[in-house]
Amino acid sequence: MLIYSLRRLLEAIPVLLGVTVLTFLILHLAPGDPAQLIGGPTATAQEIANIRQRLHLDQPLYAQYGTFLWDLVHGDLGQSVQRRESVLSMLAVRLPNTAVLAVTSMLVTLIGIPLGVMAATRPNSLLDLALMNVSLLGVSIPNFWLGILLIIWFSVGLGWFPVAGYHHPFLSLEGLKSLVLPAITLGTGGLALVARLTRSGMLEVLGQDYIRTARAKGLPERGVLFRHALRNTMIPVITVLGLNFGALLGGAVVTESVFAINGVGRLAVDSILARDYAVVQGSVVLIATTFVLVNLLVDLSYALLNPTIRYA
Amino acid sequence: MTRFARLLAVLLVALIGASAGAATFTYAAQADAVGLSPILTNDSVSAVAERHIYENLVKRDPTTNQLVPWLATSWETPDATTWIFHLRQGVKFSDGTPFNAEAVKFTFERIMDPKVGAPRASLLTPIQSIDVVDDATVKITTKAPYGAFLAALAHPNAEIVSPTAVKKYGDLMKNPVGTGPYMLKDWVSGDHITMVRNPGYWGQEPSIDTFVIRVVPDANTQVALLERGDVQLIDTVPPELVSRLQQNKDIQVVIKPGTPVFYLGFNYKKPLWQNKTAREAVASAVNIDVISRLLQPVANKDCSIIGPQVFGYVEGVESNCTPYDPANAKKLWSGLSGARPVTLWVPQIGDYPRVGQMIQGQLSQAGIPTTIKTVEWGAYLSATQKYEQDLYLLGWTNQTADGSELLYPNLDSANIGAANRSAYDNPAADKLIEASRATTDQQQRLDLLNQANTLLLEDVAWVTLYDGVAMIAHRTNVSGIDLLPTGDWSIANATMQ
Repeated sequence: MLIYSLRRLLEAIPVLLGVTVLTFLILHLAPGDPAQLIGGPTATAQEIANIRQRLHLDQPLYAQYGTFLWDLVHGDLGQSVQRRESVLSMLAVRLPNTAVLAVTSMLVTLIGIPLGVMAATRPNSLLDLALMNVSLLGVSIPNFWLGILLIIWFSVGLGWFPVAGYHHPFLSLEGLKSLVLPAITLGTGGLALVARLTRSGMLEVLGQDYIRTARAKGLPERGVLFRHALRNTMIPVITVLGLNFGALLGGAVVTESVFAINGVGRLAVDSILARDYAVVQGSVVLIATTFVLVNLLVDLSYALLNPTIRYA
Repeated sequence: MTRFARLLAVLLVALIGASAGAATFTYAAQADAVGLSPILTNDSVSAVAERHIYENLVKRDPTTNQLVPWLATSWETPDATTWIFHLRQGVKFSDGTPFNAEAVKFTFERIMDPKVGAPRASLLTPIQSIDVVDDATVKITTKAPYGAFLAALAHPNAEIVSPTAVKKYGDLMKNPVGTGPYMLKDWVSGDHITMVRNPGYWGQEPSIDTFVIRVVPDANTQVALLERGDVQLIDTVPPELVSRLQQNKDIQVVIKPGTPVFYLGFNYKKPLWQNKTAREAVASAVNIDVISRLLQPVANKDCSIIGPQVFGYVEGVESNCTPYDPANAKKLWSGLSGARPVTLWVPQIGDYPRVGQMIQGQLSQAGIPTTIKTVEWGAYLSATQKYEQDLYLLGWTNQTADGSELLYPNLDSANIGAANRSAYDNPAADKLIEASRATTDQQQRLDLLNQANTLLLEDVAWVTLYDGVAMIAHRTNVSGIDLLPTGDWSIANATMQ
């Protein structure tokens, strides 16, 4: 398993390299010029030329990419052209905010598992119907709309939660209160998806012979459901959860914007709009690395769920 | 016991006094400031912070909008190209560096230095030399008479910086040091900027202790924060949310006619738009009345290129605008040789997309087949400077509030390839615009700008759609916020209960 993990990590290097090349090319091929955006509509040609020179944007593309790569292997993600700030420090400020949002919304998403089980154990009952319709609603509601509604109802109307922003430290009453609405906004879609996935998986597994055998042996129903049925349903659910978590760690730009959370997603989008190449590159490297690592963990977890899966 | 009670009372009074005085004013901004160096930034949020940290030699009076002395107490112009500024004495930057002629020379030379790459270096391009006469006097010589010089000196990018701080930090993007009423306390990138009173401020001490700029990108969230009283001011209210705020008795919405002008431009590199009849057809088809009504209350109807809030506007100039007449538009377009379907380029930002849709409808109704091409802002700025567009929408905020600084960048042939995004080239207009820049006689400048404006309107150089407004929405417990027609606002004189 250790050798497998190491091999997967080594394989990640060309993947990440490919990601940087692609990002670099896409960014430079896309229309728009950072110097033009810094100068704004009022800038003269001379002003723009001076800004380009100051930011070394007048150098050939391969030289710019070479500098980026050289810095990267030295653990430096470069400097924001727009803000003249180290990309690493910009990410360091935002990553904890995004991670906390990802973890809390993941907790909301996990509620989908017991809901799915409940629905599966009483198929076509009123409860099943209600849960599945609510989850359909959950998948369909756009994030930004849900976020704004929650703010209007619970923050402006009832005054239970702050409107926006995090309250530090997180582990305090105010801190936890500031996490509730963003976590619900971001987690609801995943919750609904996981509930539906768990339900369909459980329904399939509950019809299997080994479940009948377990019941025939006289095992308590709880043991049958959670030890035998749910465990066998979990592989697709864990895969979806893993992908979801990876994406959440890459930032959730809509939720971050609505709740004014200073996260990685917003940074990446703002930087794309400002053509701040170094920051986009840095964010993409971070997001890709997280994704690769989370996927590796998901793959390794398969072996824990299903002992017939072995990694050599 | 009595002594103890007295001590307790004193402590209580001190505590209450401290909490009453510890006013924190929070402004919700849509984006983070790019940096806090006035020399290197050109975005509105940076300008808000910089306006409270730095000061200019001259500034605009918030009530009269006239240029008034500030760090310069007076000036004289012995000849048309020489400006002698007498500087305020006893002023220090927040790092203790004295403000003097050296600081002025240092700041302006830095803005003009091509290696620095200042985004608004062109404001000071007309300067030939800057000489320190003595500590309190600086002499600036311009290459030719420069009519809008004082307006340029009042521009946010011409704020004076501490030379010591620049030498120490390299630039002031993260370490601003100015002579203004506030100074930076902390800045969490992407989250908030906190400024506190500058204890050594030379002027009247501001009543608000702490000024926080909080980054809140979503307009709906900004409104909710203002309604809850978590922030005291917002300045980017979408038109559809204004009435909701106006109905709230705890919130005051201040709307003033503004300097920004929004227009429908022609790309003169395309032969079709070199034909005045084609431009007239388009101008006759556009109903600006409907557009400004749609955008109420954030737009004021105007057809003049130089608007009422900008120096150079003379009442009555509107008679030179092309009147709305769709029948005439139809007639002109159908009789036009080389008429073809047109493409309207629209930036995907602010109110442009819906204005674009309205114009598309109006042009099509007048028999001018129009398709819309919506382009992301960054790509739009580049494409329009390369003249890839056909018809296009754009605006000009005009921070100097001076007509020369509107016409020269946008419509003078010297700026083709830069801010003159229409590639408009009219020698007669050039002559008037350049003459308005080359004299310091303000009455003569007004006449020249009015002539230029009239000529440009007659020629249908572009179709002015509406003027922007200066708007803020703030909690009613704050009063005395200064708001200029440029949209610039300041809390230096504000009080908070």
